[in-house]
Amino acid sequence: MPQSLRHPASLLPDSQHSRPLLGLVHSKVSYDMILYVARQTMRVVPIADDIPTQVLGGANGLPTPPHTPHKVNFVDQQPQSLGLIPLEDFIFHIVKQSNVHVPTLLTTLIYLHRLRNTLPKMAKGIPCTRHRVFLATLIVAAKYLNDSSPKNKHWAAYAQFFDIAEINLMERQLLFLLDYDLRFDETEALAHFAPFLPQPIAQRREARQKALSRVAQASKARAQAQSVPLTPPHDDVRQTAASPAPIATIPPTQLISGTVHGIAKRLSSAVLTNVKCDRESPALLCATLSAASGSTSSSGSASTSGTDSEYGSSLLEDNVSSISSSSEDDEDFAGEDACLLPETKFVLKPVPTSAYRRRKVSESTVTVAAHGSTTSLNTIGSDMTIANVQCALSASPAAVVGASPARPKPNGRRAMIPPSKTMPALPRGTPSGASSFLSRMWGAATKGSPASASGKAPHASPVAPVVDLIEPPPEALVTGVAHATGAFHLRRLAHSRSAAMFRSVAAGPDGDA
Amino acid sequence: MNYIQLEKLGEGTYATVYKGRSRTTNEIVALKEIHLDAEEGTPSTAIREISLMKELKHVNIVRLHDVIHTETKLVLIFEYCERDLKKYMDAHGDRGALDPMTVRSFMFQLLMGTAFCHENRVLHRDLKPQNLLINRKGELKLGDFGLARAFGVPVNTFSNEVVTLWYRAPDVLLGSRTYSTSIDVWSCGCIFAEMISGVPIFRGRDNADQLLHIMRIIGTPDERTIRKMVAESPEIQPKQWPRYPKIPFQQVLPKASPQAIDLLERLLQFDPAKRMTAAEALQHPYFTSAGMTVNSVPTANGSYTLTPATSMPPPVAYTNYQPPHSGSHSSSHSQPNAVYSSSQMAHMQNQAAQQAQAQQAMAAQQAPNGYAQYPAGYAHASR
Repeated sequence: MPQSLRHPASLLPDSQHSRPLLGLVHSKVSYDMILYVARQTMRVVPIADDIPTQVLGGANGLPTPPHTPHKVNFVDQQPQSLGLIPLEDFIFHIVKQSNVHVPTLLTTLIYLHRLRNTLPKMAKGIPCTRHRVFLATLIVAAKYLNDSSPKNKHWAAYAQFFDIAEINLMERQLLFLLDYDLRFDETEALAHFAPFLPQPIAQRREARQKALSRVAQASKARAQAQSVPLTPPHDDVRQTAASPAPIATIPPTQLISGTVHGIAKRLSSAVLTNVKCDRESPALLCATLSAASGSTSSSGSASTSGTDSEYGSSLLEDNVSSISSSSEDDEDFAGEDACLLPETKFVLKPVPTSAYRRRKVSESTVTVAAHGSTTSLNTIGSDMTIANVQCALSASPAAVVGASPARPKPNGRRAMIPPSKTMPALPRGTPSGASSFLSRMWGAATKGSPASASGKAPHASPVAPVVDLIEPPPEALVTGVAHATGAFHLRRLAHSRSAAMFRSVAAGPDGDA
Repeated sequence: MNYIQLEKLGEGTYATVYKGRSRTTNEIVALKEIHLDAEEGTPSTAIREISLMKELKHVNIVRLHDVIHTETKLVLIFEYCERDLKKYMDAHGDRGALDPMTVRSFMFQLLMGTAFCHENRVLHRDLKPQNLLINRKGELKLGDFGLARAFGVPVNTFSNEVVTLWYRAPDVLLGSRTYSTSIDVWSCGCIFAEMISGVPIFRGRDNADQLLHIMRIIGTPDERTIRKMVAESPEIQPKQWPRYPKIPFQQVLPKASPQAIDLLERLLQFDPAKRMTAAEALQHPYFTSAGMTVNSVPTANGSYTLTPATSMPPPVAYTNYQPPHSGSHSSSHSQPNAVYSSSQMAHMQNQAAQQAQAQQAMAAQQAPNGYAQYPAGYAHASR
C-alpha cells in the first residue's frame, strides 16, 4: 500500500509536501491575508501621489520650470471624484464575491513579486493602478491554477469598478509583463506564503523575543527622535496580524483605537467621516484599516527592501521593524522603496477636496521637478504628439531594451525546469516595451511616451529612464486631460485612456499583417 | 505582423492553424490563431499552453517560437510540422497501420517527449494521434498543450474531464481526480496499439461505454485491484461490471511482435500504479533489442532513418531491463550500451535510464510493491 495518498492539489504524495503548506491550502481566507496581499500589491507600484518631493529632488536635484498648475490639479484630482474604494476593501470584496480559495489568493503574492522585479524601479501609476494590478494577478492565478475558473465577465461583475474591456486589457498586460512565466515550485510558494505558515514553536518564540527587543529599541528610538507617535495598541495590532498560526481577524475596536492613535495627526476627522458607508465593514473601520496597513506596508517594504526573498525569515521581525520605522531602517528606505512614504498613503482613500488641495501644493512641486528633469535629461521631443509616441513605441523594439530590466529570479525556483533566463525570452509579437504596457495598465496614457523615448535614447544616464517614467511630456498630459474632460468618473477616464492604447496596440500587428 | 499567413492547416474548436512564413528569417512556421472571446478574456488553455510550452524545449515537443497577443486574437507561432500522426497514418499506413519500424520510431519519440514532460512535472492530458505532429524528417513531436498542467505544488485544482475519451485512462473514467503521469502513459499505449493496427483500440461512446470497451480487451479488474484503486483515489466510484476475461493482445493485434505486445501490456494496465512510466518504457527490450534499430537522431542529411539492423552485433541479453522494484537494479544502467549503432541513441537511452531510476526511487516511496505483480511472461510466447 502506498505510504501516503496523492494530494489532489499537487498530484504528488502528501509526504512530499511541507505539512504547514498543506494545512494552509485547506484553510479559509482570512482578513490578514487580504491585508497582506493589499500591502504587497502596494509595493509593486507606487502611485503618482506617493512620490515624495525630497526623493525627486535628491534624484536629479535640478531646478525645474513650474508646471501648469491647472493641468496637474485636474488630473490629480480625478481619483477623489470617483469613489475608488481602498485596495483592502476592493480585495475583500472580490475575494468574497468570487469565493476564491487560499492557494489562488496567495499565488498572487508570487506574481506580484515577479511583477515588482519586472517593473522599472520608479514606475508609477494612478490610484486605480493597484486595483488593476491585483485584479489581473488574481484572474491569471485563478486561470493558471484551476481547471475551471471564472470568465472575465464574471470577474467584471465581482470587481464592479472595471468593465470587461478593461479587465481583458489588464489581464493581457499582466501576462505580457510576466512573460507568461506563471510557474513556481514549492520552495517559492513556501517563501511567499511564509507569513501564513505556522512556524515551529522554538522558532516562533525566538522570533517573538527578537521582535520584542526590537519593539523596545524602536520605542526608545522613537521617544528620542520625537517622531510620529505610534502607540502600543497599534503595535498590538501588528502583532496580532503577524502571529502566524490561527489567523485571527483583527478585533475592530483594537484596530480602530490603534489607528486612531497612530494616525490621528495625519487623518483629519473629515476623512474618517467622509468615507462611503455602503461597504460591509463599517466605513470607519475601512478607513482606519487601510490607513494602518498603508503605513505599515510602506515602512515594511523599507525594512525588507534589500532582502525581499527572505520573507520567510520572520514575519514578526518584519512587522515589528515596520512599526518602529525607526532610524535604522531609514537608509534602506530612502534608497530602495522611497516612493512609499507613510505620509503619502492616504491618497487611496476618498479624501475631502479641501484636505486634498492642501496636500496638492507639495505634490505639484514634485511634478514640476520631475518634469523639468525629464526634458533636461532626455530632451524628449516635445514635438511628438502622444499618438506619434505611441506608434513609435509599438514599432520600436528598442523600447524593450531600454525599459525592461532583466528580472532577477529568486533562488530555488523551478528546480525542475531550466530557468527561463537560459532560454531566450519569447520575442514579443507586439514589440512594445514593458513600460508601455505598464503605462497602459496604470491607465496613465501619459507615462508610456517618455518610456519610448528612453528606449530610443539608450545612452542617457541610467537615471534617465527612471525619471522619464515619472512625468509625461506636456503634450501627453494635455491628451490625458482632454480624455478626461467631462468624464469625472475615473472609471470612464481610465477606460478612455485604455481605449486609446487599445487602438495603438491593435494597429501595430494588425496593420502590418 | 512578422509572419506572412499562408494556407489554413486546420481548425479546432478554439483555434485555427495556418501555415506561415517569417518575414525576417523566411522560416516556415505554424500560426495557431486563438480567437479571443470578450467575455472569457484570455483562455486559460492558452495561458497554460504558453506558460508550459515556452519552458519545454525538447526535440519531441513542438517548439513555441513566439506569441502575439492583441485585443481580438492570440497567435502562437510554432515550429512547422507537415502533418499530425492521424493524417500520417491515413496517408502512409496500410489502412492506417504503420510498418513496424515506423511504429517503433514513433513510439520511441512519443515516449521521449512524454518522459520529458513528466520529468518536468507537466501532464499533457490530451495525447492522441491528432496531437502528435510529424515533420518531414520523421520526427514526432507532442503538440497542443491546451489541456496540459504543471503539477507538484499543492495549490491546484484538477478536473476529472481530461483526455479525449478513447485515450482516457480507466482511473480517470472511474472518476479519479488524483491521477498522475500514468494517464499519459495509458494514452501512449492506446496510440501504440493504433499505430500497429490502424484503428483506435478502445472506441467507446461515453465514459461508461469506454470502460466496458477497455474491460472487454484487458479484462474486468478483480476486486482487489478496484479496492486498491479506491484506496489510492477515494473519489473513485466503483460499480458492478460484467466479468470479462482478458483477451491476449496477440489476438487483438496479430501483427505485433512479442516484444511490442509485452510493452503494450505494461502500458495498458488498468491499475495506474502498475503502469510503466514513460522513462521505464524507453528501456524496454522492444526498443533495445536487435532486429532493427531506430536512428532517432537525424542523420547528416537531416532525415530520420529506420534501418534493419542486419549488420549489428548480436544483442546483449536484456540485463538492463528488470521489472521495477525487483531489487538490485540501481547499478544496472551503468553498462555502456555497446550494441547500438548510433552512439546518440545509446546516450538518449542512458538518459532515459537515469530518469527511470529517479522515477523508480520516487515511486518506491509511495508504492513499494507497485510493480511486484507484473504480468510478465505470457506475452513472450511466439506466435
